[in-house]
Amino acid sequence: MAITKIFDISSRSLSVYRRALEVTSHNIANANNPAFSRQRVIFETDISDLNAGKVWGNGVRISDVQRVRDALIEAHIREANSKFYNNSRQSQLINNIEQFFSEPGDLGLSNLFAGFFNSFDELATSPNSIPLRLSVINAANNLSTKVNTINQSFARMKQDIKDEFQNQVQAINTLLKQIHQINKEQFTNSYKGLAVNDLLDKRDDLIQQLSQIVNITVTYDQNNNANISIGGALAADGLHAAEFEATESNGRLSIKLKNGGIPIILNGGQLNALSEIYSDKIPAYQKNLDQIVTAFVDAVNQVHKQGYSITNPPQTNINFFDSYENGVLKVNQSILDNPSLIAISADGDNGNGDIALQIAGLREAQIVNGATVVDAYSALINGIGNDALLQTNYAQANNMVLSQLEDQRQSLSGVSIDEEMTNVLKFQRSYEASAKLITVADEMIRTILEMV
Amino acid sequence: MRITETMMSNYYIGSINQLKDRIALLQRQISSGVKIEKPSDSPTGAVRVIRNNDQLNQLDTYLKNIHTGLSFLDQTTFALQSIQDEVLNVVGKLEELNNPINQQNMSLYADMIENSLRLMVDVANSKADGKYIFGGTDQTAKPFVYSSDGQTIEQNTKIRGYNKVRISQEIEQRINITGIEIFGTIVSADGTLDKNSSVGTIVTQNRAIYDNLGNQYNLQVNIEKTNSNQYQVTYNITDGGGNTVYTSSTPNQLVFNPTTGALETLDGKSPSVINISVPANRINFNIDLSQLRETDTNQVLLNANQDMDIFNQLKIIIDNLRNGIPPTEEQRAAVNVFNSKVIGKLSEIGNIINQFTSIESMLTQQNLDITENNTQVNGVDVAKAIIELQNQDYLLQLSQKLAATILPKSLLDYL
Repeated sequence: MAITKIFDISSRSLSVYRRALEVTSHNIANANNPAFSRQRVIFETDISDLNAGKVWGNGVRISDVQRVRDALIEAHIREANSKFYNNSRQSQLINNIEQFFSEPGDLGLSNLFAGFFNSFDELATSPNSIPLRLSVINAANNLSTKVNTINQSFARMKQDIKDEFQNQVQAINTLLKQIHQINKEQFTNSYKGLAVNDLLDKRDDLIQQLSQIVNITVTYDQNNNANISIGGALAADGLHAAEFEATESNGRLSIKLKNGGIPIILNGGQLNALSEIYSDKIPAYQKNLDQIVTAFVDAVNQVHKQGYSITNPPQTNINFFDSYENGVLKVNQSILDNPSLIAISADGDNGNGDIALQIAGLREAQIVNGATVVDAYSALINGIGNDALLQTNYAQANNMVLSQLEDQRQSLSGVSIDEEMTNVLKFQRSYEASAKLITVADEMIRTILEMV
Repeated sequence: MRITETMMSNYYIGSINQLKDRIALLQRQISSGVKIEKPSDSPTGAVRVIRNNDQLNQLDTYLKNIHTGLSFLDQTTFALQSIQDEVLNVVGKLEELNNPINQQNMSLYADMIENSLRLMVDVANSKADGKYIFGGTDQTAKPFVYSSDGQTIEQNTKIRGYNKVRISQEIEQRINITGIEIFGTIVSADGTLDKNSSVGTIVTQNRAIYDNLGNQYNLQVNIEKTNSNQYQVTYNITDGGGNTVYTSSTPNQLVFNPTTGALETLDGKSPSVINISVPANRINFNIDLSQLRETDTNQVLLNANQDMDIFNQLKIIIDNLRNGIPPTEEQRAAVNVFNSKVIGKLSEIGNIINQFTSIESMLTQQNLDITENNTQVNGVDVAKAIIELQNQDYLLQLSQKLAATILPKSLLDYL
């Protein structure tokens, strides 16, 4: 072997370890980038020469720079993401709904119902007392304001959810475009033999972001393109990216392809949470509240109509509440204007409070589908509380799964500074050794030259 | 397992967040004093708190009603005692007038009794909590007023009706004694009607009644069968000369329960006394039909609790004294009967007050029990919470110290 071969091997070796140090520095630089997968240099022995019946080694070369990634863990993370973001968002939204009711507390509807009945009980002690009549009006106003506020909050929340839903659909479309773009780029670069690891990291990150929003299925074709479908509809691949739009059908929020198609069945991600709350939970809670308030209003009006006011002459057949329609409870305006019209006398005598006692007695009457007002209302609050608790528990459980999966991913793909620094030392030493070899070869040549 | 720096910092941040979350919760609980801030903190606990609060609200109202009722009953007791004092005073004076010596000073006695009468009328018109104590459920006019000629004392025709308050879930208790109960003249129709008699059968009964000046009239009550278990009642009042001074314009409709035979409704409502007033003749009395029963015999009797009310009775005694006529035995007896009635009503009020007091104790105890239950469900054990808070704080500090010591270290530090 000629001495110059030592130069060749050493020079190649210098390049290999310089490249290895570059990869290591790339790893170290991305140590805190959560979307980054550490890269590993794969060394291999360069093809040997056969000369004069002997094998002459050619040193080392880099066969590949691999991205350390486990596709199975990635798939599990996508699934866990989809579940966690669904439960977590539902939990947040139901927690917001809980706040509408201010329970259990002084400002809650249960307390205001009690205040309304109590005000009639107290009015019965002094039926012609104007201050006590004003106290009834005050209690009724507090009650109606709270009922109306709850319903307004529901309406506002539905609008907010709808807006957020549309924004999320836009986000899906943007992510799909980006994924499609990266599919194309990685294919072109791979074809040209260029490194695509960072592009793939970027694409994986986008796919994870997408899985937080909506339930997706991901497969990879022979060209390493990610084929993504949402609810069975092809959303993105190497050739195109679909566009989705929000749709509302029969009160249910969903998405569908912009160029037609039927609404897609959502079962995960934030989009599903928004749809569930908008389409199922809020209507169910509102229906329940409506039933309670309607039964309450009907029962109070029915009794109140039998009573006589303390006006001169006494009037009868007066409704206490004007109406409860579209979530708005209205106290009879005439009563608000003139408290004497509260009709609690059973016989027209202004000191008779029998009707007030009957109205107060409605507290114990089973007027809401066989339950009292407070029992029916408690069941509603219990239902909301349980829904929130269930979603919170699911979210916590899925969060634990997600954390464990993230740990697994980090354990495999994350950058360890200790490890990288060891590599730095290792590659540096190898680089130094290669350099030293060149010096040695140089000295060898000089020795020969001096001999001449 | 391969551990990276990101994993270490994730563990650290995760545990720090958990500790801070717990610390924030404990701080909120200590400052608010409640464990359940929203239903999802404990859905069943929240429902218990809602129900307990509802019950506490009810109990507060019942207790308030009891206090209002007791105050009204105390005022009523005071009014009745004042009336009784005056009645006893009058009884004494009437006894003294048995002595012929005292009969020489009839005019003086008349003055003294008149003073008592004025005081009694004044008390009978007194108010408590803005209401006429004996005004029943009609609070539009004074219960008793002197006639324009000053000869009689006229009664408001509607001083009936109980003022009821709810003092527990099941108990509605009246808190007033009506003017009619204590002062009114009530003619009650007692006895039975024959349910087998044919439609159109009329049962008639007569009774002497008196106007406020003491003149006698005849009251005729006619009860005619109109249908099975149904009757209509009409009234006629004639004076001593046989002249009709009053005929009821609209008959009262009675409906009896076919099974029990008890009077079920009077003019479609639950039975109550009917007032008959003939102002021109100063006649004012009440008819009570509630004791009528439908059986298989026609036997109706008209009974009156008094011939005339105490005020006009005393007025006649006073006028007689001024004219030199001493009180009769019947008049003395009437005053004594009224005195007994007042004592009876005082005892009735005493019973109601006792009931209120017992229920008040019961409700107060119930209030304490529910409050305790609420505390168990929703209250924060502050001492325990503070100890836990301290413990969590130690853990947080420890965690931060460990993180500060370990996290920054890597091979880099030793190169």
